Amino acid sequence: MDPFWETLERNSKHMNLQGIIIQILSGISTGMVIFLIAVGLSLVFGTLRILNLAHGTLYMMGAYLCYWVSSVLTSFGGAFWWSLLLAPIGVAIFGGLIEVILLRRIYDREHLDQYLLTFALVLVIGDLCKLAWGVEYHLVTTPWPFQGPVFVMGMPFPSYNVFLIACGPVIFIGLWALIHYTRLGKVIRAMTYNREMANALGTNVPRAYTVVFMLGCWLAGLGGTLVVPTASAMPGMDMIVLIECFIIIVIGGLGSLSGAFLGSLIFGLVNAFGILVAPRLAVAFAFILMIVILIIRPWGLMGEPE
Amino acid sequence: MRRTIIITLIATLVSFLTSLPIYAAEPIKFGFLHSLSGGTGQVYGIPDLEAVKIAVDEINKAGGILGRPLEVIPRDDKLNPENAVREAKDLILNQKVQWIQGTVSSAVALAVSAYCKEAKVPFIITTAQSAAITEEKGHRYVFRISTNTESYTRSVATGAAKDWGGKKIFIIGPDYEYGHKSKADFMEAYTKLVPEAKVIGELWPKVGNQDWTPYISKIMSAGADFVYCSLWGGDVISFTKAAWAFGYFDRVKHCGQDWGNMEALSKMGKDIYPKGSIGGSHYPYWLINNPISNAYWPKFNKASGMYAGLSVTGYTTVYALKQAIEKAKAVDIEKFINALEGMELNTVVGKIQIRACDHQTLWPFWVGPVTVTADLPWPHITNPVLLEPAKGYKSCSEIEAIRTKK
Repeated sequence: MDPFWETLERNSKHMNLQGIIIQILSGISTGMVIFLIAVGLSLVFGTLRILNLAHGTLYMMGAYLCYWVSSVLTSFGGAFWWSLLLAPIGVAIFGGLIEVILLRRIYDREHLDQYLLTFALVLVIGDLCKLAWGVEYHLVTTPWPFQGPVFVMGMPFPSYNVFLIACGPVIFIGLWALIHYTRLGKVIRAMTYNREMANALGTNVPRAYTVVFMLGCWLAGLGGTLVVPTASAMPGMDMIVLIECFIIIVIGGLGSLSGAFLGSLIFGLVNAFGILVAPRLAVAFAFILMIVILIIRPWGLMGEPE
Repeated sequence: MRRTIIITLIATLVSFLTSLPIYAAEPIKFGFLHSLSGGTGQVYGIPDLEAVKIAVDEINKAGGILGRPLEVIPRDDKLNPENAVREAKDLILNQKVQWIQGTVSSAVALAVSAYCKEAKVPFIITTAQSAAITEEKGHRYVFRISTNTESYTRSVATGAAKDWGGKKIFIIGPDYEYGHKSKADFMEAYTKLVPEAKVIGELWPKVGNQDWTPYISKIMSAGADFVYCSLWGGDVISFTKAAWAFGYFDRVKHCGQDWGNMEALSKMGKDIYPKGSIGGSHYPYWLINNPISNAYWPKFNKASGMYAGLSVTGYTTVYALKQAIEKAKAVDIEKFINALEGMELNTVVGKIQIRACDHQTLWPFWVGPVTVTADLPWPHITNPVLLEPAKGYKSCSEIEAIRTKK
């Protein structure tokens, strides 16, 4: 028999209900972390009309900052929780500087110029991280009280991943409320709809851009911080995440908040089930889904056609 | 004015005279070609170079080789075969080195090996593990003073069969030639010991995978007797991290060649580590008691600030060449190659032989469960099994069969 079908058959033989439920939970937790990152990218694109290629690198920077803050504060209790507070803010401030010093000058340029600048930032920030923290893998221990597994129908599942699953909806609701019920949200919606008109009506567009870009960076940093206890901070983690974010915002719709949420959830589940059923195609499944969406609904599941 | 010129002249003359040791013999030069940058350099190339420097220093302090001092010329292969061959050319043609040693990437080792065959200069591999380099692609000018992939997988299979002996095996490994070759070699060796053994599932994540959660949940619900895992380097660290959160190591039996690897385990610490997994080590100095080893590892630790591990093969190689040149009584490549063939080395891991038939050293590979003790600051293997060297490697007749078949 063909090795692929052989694997498929073997894999499906060993499935059971508990296993499938754990796999679903794994997929959701993958999706919820990637949601935080993808929604930042999507928000920045929707408002600033810039596809920030350095978004993944800012996520990596969040991961390194988390490691750094945790190791500096290691003698205090709850070092990770401090870095969860501080690391994303650090990334946001760094992002604010990038926006004011660099990005602000190229909003009216062609897309190619914007890609070149943000790609240059990928290389520069990546090398700065290497200079500061070296090329080794850096580890942060899983924080109290999420160290051990919880049991779902007798199967162990890391309690920290339960916490990650909870983070996604909290941030989603927070952003939704921000966009619909605050002044900043109104400004964001106005700018997304029509930048010139918003400017003409007295909105301080440059300041709003800086704030939105910092918010996007804060989300990237938050994703980076949250991911470190389950994996490690290492060079190269940025590009993998950036590609996954692209898949998600294409599936969900560029610039759409609920699209990013739905896209992330779908991405996580497709990935987890790919691994369960046909592991050699797990990576391909998400791409196939993206291609299908691009053909039948190019503006994404929750996006609007332009 | 004139006085200053004279003083400068005299000073120059004096510095010239002191910098040229008039009576010293011309040094014996050799090339050290290894990955010296990036993460791989940090883990493999740089410790290897430190070990080589210790050997050179010891030999020179003891009077050199045949009265001539030894000099190492380090070069970075940048993990790139083309660049490595360029460096090898420069080492051989311009620096006139007597031999080249090092390399971690098997692709780099193969390219350098092909060039050295043409240039007729010996190339001694100290880290790269692909068995093919000394088997079907072996020749007069290539040697390996290290283990190879076969000795890895055979040793792990023996350890797993002895400690567990399960029949349902789950496979996870990196999705490239090394991972798939490891699986094939492991199953071949293991089914010889446990004939009814079967693979019940397999996973092939990409190298540098970040999110291990769905992989681990899948393995845990598969119901295997044990898991054979050929992940290595950073993947070992991030896999362990994610698996620990599942309580994986309390529930799943896990084995693989790189799971006793000092370089990875020393990064993890005593809280989160692959508890009870069967892993391997090239040089478990905490389990070895001989005068060479007892002198070497504290010295290495003091000189480099790192722990002794696989890098000791670089140190051993320098001494092997010294022994060969002294046996040949001449710094003559063809003569000391003849001396190297079949030579017995007295090393940190005991007496081992460089086989004449394939130029592979019968370096041992220890395999045992990983645990934490008070002796070492990081988790390490204990109670190891050690395969007889002759069983860890293909026999000379098997290798001849492979070469003639080709």
